[in-house]
Amino acid sequence: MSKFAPTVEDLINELSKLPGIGKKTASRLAFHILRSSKEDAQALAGSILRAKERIGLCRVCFNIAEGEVCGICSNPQRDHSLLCVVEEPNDLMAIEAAGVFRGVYHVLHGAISPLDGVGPRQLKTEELLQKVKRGGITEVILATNPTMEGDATALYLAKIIRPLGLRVSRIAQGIPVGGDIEYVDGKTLSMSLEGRREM
Amino acid sequence: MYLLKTDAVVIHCADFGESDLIVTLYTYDLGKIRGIAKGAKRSKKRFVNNLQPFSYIRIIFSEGRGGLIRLDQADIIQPFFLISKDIFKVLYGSYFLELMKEMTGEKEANPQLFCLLVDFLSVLNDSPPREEYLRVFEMRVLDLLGYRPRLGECTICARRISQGEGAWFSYRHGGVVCKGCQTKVRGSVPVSGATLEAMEKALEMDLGEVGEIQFFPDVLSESREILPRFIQYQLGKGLKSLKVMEEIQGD
Repeated sequence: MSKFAPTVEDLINELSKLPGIGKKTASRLAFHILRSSKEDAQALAGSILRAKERIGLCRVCFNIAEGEVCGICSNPQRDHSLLCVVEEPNDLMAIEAAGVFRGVYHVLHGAISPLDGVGPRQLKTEELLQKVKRGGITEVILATNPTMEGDATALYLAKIIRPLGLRVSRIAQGIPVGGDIEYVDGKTLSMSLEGRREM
Repeated sequence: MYLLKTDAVVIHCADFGESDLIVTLYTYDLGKIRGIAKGAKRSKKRFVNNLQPFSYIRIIFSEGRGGLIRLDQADIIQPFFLISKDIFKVLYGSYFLELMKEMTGEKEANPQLFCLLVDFLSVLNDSPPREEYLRVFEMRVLDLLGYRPRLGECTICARRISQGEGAWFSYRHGGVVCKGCQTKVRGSVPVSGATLEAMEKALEMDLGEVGEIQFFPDVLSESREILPRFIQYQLGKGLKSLKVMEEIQGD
């Protein structure tokens, strides 16, 4: 027999489907919703529905967008000759939050992972190649994660883009700001030494 | 809690919740195991990014619940990080790892197989990527796991296949069949004497010579046709890394 009324149980089940939310957190969220006003609950439900109805992928960069083209791609102030390739929309948001990049993006929606059977065709690589071939881009910056999958993706993209005569670069890898050399792994240290800069 | 220690190679690593990782390891003492590394995504001291695939590590762990071990610490022995600097090394290395993942059972220790994996990852890390490594690795893994194909005599009539003589390879019979028996076997593929010799040599050669190995193009092509298919026949399913390898090699 269930502990709660079926409607509450149902709400807990739905909330526990969210990433990082277990049954306990889902119960806490469910009771928060039950305690809040009807207007707040309607506003939450409405936002979820509106997001599902209105949000899609930008047809240029494949970032999450409201409308056909996202705010970054439609902004004439951005440098459209500089293309930054990221794995997921979250990575794009992290770079945007840093506020230092003025170019445009291309979101792959994943990374090559041979062990999971994810190859280039499951990603937005063909769309990237077509975009690069259309011209107007001078540099492609590969901002994939420094993981085996991210490395494989960057190596593959460099292999297919470099013959087109464009500059292909990868974001630097090394010791994080505030990090401690003592606890940095060998691979990261090696990358830091390889990518050192003259001062 | 009783803590244990063993050497391991990271086969697979996946996110679990906000900060944990679920890792699949091939270990010296326990064979293949799966474990949870609590807080590994944020850990700057206990795991320090040492749980990436291909890493050769020493782990401290305890037995956990539901068949999962609980990883307490992972120290690097050899990161094999040069593998991640070449797309073909990544593809070949992933194939090695997938073979270990799919062909072995959990907690079935096989120290020889562990050493073979470490040796091949070392070769791949230190030498230019060659497709020949895959074929030698396949033959050695099949041998160590008891699936060694019979190459010296017909698997049906037991007639000796003389040196340099071609034959047919039957996936169902787990080895070669002679010209006389070939008509009775459906789905067998022709195999030259040179390929049979190369496959035998792959089992006998000193692993120190693997970095220099080079097959003739027709031997490479025939063995590529036979060995991965034989392994998939034995497994009863396809291998994901092979599919990705074919996709990227075709581009």
